[in-house]
Amino acid sequence: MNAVRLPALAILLALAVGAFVFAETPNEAAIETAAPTAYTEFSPLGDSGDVWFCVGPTSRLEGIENRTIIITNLTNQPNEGLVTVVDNLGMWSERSIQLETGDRLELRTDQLVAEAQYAGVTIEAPHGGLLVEQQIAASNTAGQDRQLCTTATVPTGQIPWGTTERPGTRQVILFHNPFQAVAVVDLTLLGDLDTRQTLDAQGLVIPGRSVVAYELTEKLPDSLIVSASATVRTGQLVMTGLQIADGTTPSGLQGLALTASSLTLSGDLFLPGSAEGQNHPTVVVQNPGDTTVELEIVIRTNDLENTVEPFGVMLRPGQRQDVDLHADGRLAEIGAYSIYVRSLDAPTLAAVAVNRQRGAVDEGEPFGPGLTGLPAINYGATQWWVDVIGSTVTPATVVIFNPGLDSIATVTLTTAADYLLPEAFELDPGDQVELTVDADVIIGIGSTAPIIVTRQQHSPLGWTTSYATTLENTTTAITR
Amino acid sequence: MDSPNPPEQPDETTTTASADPIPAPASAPEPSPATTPQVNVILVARKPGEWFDEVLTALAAQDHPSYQVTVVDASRRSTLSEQVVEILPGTEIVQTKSTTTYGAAAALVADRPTKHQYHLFLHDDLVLDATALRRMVEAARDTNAGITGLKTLNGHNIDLLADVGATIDRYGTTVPRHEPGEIDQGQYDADREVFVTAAPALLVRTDLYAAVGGFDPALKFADAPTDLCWRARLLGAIVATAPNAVGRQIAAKKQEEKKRHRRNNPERFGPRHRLRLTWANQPASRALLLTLELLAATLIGVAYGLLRGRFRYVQALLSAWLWNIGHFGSLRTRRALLRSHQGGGHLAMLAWANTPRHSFRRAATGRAPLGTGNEAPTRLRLQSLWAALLGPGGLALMAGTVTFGFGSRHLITRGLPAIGRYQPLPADPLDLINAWRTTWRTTAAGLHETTPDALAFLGGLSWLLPLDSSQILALAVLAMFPLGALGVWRMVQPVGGGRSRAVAVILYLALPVPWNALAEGQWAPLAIYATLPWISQHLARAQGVVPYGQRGGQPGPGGGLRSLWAETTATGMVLALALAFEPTVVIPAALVVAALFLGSVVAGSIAGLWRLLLVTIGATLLAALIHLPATLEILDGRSWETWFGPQTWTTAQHGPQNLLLFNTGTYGYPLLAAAFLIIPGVALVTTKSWHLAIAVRSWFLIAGGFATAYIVDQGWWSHAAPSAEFLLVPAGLGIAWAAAAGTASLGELLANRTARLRYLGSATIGLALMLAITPIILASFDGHWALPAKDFTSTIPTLIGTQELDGTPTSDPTQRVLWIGDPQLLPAVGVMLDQQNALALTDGYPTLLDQAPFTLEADSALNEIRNSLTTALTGGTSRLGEQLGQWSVGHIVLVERSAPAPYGNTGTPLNPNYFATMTRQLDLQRIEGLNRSVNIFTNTANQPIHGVVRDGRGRTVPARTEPLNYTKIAIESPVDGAYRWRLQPEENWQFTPGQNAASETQPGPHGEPTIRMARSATGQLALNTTQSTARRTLQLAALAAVALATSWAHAGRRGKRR
Repeated sequence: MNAVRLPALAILLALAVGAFVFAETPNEAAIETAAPTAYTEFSPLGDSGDVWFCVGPTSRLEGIENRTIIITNLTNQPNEGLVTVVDNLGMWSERSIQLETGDRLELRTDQLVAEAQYAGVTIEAPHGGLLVEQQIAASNTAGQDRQLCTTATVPTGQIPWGTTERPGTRQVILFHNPFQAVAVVDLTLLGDLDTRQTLDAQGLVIPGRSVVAYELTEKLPDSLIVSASATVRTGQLVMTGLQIADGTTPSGLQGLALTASSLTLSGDLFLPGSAEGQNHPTVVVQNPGDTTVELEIVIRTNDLENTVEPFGVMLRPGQRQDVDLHADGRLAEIGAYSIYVRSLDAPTLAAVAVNRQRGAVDEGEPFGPGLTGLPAINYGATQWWVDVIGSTVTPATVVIFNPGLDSIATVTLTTAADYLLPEAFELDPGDQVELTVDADVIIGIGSTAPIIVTRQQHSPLGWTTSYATTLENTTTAITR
Repeated sequence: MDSPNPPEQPDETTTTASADPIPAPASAPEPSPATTPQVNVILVARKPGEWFDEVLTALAAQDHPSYQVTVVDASRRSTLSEQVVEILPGTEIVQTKSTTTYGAAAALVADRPTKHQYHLFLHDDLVLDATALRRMVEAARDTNAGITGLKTLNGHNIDLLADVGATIDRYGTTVPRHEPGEIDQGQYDADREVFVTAAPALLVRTDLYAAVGGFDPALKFADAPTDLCWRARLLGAIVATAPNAVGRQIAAKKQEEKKRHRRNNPERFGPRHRLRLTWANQPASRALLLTLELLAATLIGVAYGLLRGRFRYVQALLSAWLWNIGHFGSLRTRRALLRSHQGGGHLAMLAWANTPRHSFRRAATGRAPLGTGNEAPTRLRLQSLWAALLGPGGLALMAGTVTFGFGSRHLITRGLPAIGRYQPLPADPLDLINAWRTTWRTTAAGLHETTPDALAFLGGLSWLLPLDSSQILALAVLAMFPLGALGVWRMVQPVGGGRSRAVAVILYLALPVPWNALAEGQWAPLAIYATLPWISQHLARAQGVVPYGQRGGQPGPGGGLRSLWAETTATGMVLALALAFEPTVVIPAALVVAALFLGSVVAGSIAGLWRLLLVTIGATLLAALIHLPATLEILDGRSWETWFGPQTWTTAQHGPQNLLLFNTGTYGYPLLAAAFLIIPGVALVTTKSWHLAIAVRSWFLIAGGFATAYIVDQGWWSHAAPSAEFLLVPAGLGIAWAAAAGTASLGELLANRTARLRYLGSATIGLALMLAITPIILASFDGHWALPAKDFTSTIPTLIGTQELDGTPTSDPTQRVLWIGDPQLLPAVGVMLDQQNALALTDGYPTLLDQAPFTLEADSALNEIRNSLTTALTGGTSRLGEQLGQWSVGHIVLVERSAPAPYGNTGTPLNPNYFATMTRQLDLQRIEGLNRSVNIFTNTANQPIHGVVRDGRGRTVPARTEPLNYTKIAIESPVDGAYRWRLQPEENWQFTPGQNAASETQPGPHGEPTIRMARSATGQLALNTTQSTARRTLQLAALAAVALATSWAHAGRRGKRR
């Protein structure tokens, strides 16, 4: 039998060469930019369910007068939910709730738990459409706070700012585990002098369906700033810092603030700044990572010609620093501005903007409690809801700013109530506007580009600052 | 003396060639009448060939002083007399009919009154040595033998024995003492006394001949001497052989041999003679017993003959009884004669070769091992085996076996760890058979689809063997390696000798492909690895090109062209068998066909391609017929893609370089794998003629394997695809095939070249082999081929159903488990959840039943569960447990490694979102303290598979159940409520109400059927398996039909071989 060799050689050679010539290069591991987790995400009725988590003290805690959970049915039909209450004594209970159209249900936590000083409340909205927030008032007019409850749980959390200054302050880290499984937390504290990683803060067990309060006042007393960093070994938690100051401290700090832990570490963090003459925030940045981070706190003004030299900060691993933006006067007369915390190295930063009362503007006006801590976020959303019910008593300021680095946002305001709102307007990158509202309305804020919306209320009874709630699936990470 | 009862009177005419007696040779000693017995030589000529002169001349040359020759001419050839007269003048010639039996023909002369002391009955093809007759007579007188024979040698090669006598078995079958082709070394000379002497020449005392009644004229050529000797022995005569008397049996031409064979065909006359001899020569009581046994043998033989297509043999078996009954009269006469000489008694004569197993086999099948004892065939086989084992191929096989056994020692003794597709057998192994029969299994809440037939076989094996599940599994999985190696061994048999087969087997065993598949717990590539060589061998034979057939040259060892039908049926059966192990084997089989086509064309010959095409089509149709249920599923619309199961293969995951180096897993050293291509490369460049044709075809198989893997790897294939190892098996087979051709050719080429070239060639092959086998030798040291030492069954016993997570015994061992992770890592086959991960649903810990791919129906439980998971992963629900609980999912297991840490070396981390999502569910509870390879969440909102819904809120309590069989469950309701079951397909489960149960079915809250039941009400839930059982019955019928056709198609060839 005769056989020929050359055709086979030619074909096989061509195949081999072709295989290498036309070969695709392996895909690099795709870096998925997953939609970031927002503090609160609201689902319209029927889309999907929401679960809201509220953690805080009860009136049985010394210095707290009351705490109220407010559930609002934003839908145009009756809605239902399931409320689960757990406390720091290991008790838990469940109850169903029914809300008519537009109903607003207020639950006082001291009626939900028997003897506990702290309570965590989980509100399940199986069909969505519910908005949940909580109000806390301190006794002896030491302040108040009003925060949306969160829909997010975290595997890690940072609370960069708190104080255990003596006398007159109390700082508590609250861990709320609404789930069935036990969570285990490693907590690292950073005081004025050094880092504390005590044994009792390592492997801290948070039983399922419970609230655990970790008193910093005792663990790290008399520290002007205490930063807490928690890593959850297993499970997911809601982590919040409770700060109470009665005004007897040497610095005169007075107020009450519930500061949610950061959701994620990032290299790009955004905060609302201030309109002219309003807040004078101190930005506390923390680096819980393993490498040294050089960062800049960039002040973005509405006037492009009015540039401000960024605040440069170098943070070693585990270090934090507070930056008083108004201390050196470089922000004088720049008008409204927003804040951008930008890492030049690893994206392992957490930040919080702290506002406190700084003495009366008018000599005749007495000092009032004023303390807020607003964590910086790395996301924006194209649809927000802000609940300003109660602003007829204390006017609310809605701050809308465009954190984007290159996109212009066209903002549209809507409300179901009979209240006149501004027409649609545009926000350049970094610009912010403030809208003062004095009506009991819920405002929808839509935008063509991701924006950030906060609600601020300053009154003689106390200051509150919180993010509005985003509509689900509209959040986007803001990256450079 | 007349013949006692001749059945037929031959047409006898007598002529005398010459009045002169035969002159004695001059040199012969002068005999004295007292010491020289006279011998009457009776030569029966039955159409002798051209050799007859030689026979007559030899007869004339005998040195015995006194003998007379009479030729009985049964040929009716006019020239025979002249021929005889010319050589043996004066010889009497007796004419008779050509149809006369040997015994009857001989009796024409022997029955006459005679003065001779002896008759010498001579065949017409025996050339006597000049001293043969004298020595026979001397031996007869020395031993006082009644019948004396001689040693017959082969006419072509006188070193070989042709006939040294025979013995009989239990049923009177004549069994030669020697093996065919046995060399004469005097090994039978010592035993002078035999049962039957060599048939071509029988020296019989005349008085004894008369006493026994002569030859039985009813018996044909072959068994007449046996009967004569038997009867002589019954009368107390000695039957002996004179080993120094030698004759040479002339080998006839093929055509003449065929004619003679037809006349004396033992297949045709054996059953008839067996019965006749038994009835004639055995005592009555014993004859009765043996008759019953022969009756049983006949029944079995008829069945055997029908199965093997030996219809003539069946006819012979049946007609034997009729014939013997018809000739019973003559039989009685012969028995009476014998009895009269025995004095009224009947001496029992037991068979000499009385090995009942062989005797019965001869009686039933007409075939049995030759030889006079048990050991002869075995010894011969052992000799062949030793000869093969001590050759290069045998040494390679032994080395491979030792390495394989050494490397598998822990797997054999400790069992196979349950990873990937290697999962334990069900608690009741017969469930595998039940699942096969009913085509229903518990996977994914209940599937009504076929499973591979091999699972049923494994279930039966496990039920029979006293081994535990993991050992059975280890044997089944590890058997794929020797099966594949043996397949290659057989496949390349026609290509070359032991050296080339050794190279092919070594290369095939050393391929990284199966070892990677083994380490990853894959089954399909191993099944392909084991079966593809067998399929390829048949396809190559089907093409019939040299060396597998005679197209283009002389076939190699074991090669040859069979009939188209025989080739089609054989290939169809092999393909069907392979499909029983792995249905997707059709892909590589098609690749082999394509490679043979393209390779043949490119090599310059299209010989046999039509035949190959026809056999392929025919075999495919037959295989489809045998796998009727699966074929019907495909015709019903089941997609071919569903046979693959979930698979992840990202674009350019491997790249061409890694594919060429078989670097798709953790086994071996990629650079060393380049050695695999060296020998095939050398083969392609250096071979010639048909060796080159094989090399080209093999290289197209190699290219085909690599190309398909490359196409999938490049993302050019958008449909379902198997794993890389699966697709690379054909390439590996091509390498072994080409290497065999290359080695065989190189051996021939180098034999004629200079010593330097010989050394260079041998060194190249040797070095390449050394490089190729180095990884496998190193890998063998750990004793378990890199498989993990432990599996999840020891880590998470709760899922097996024995205990809860806290260690307490579970009350519901069948709660379902949802597995999420990389599809390769999951312990069960499921469906894809996203681009990277799959989900599988099993009842408790997975078993082998959960390893077969299936179709995801739109309304299936798994589809609902997948939707729920997707919703949860996108944050749409915080009560995933409640949704999964509808389908009784008690646990969710996130799998990140194939085995518990630190064992196992394969793993794919899950996206953290999975953990976060599960953790965020309010009704799922994460189990702490487990191995980090898995995360388990317990569903606190689980509902039982069989539950009774108590109220409108869906509160459910478990119903009391008791399995009656695989598909029937007795139900008892513990409370008043609506009984509902979460078994699929819901429409196939039927509830039969018992006491206090409603008969009407109502839809439940999720659309499932419910039945109102009072407290303590009973009923039965049963699966309708009518259709599946009918399909399986048809499948078995189709299998039997094809097997029968295959047997018939091959029976003819085997018969000719004999």
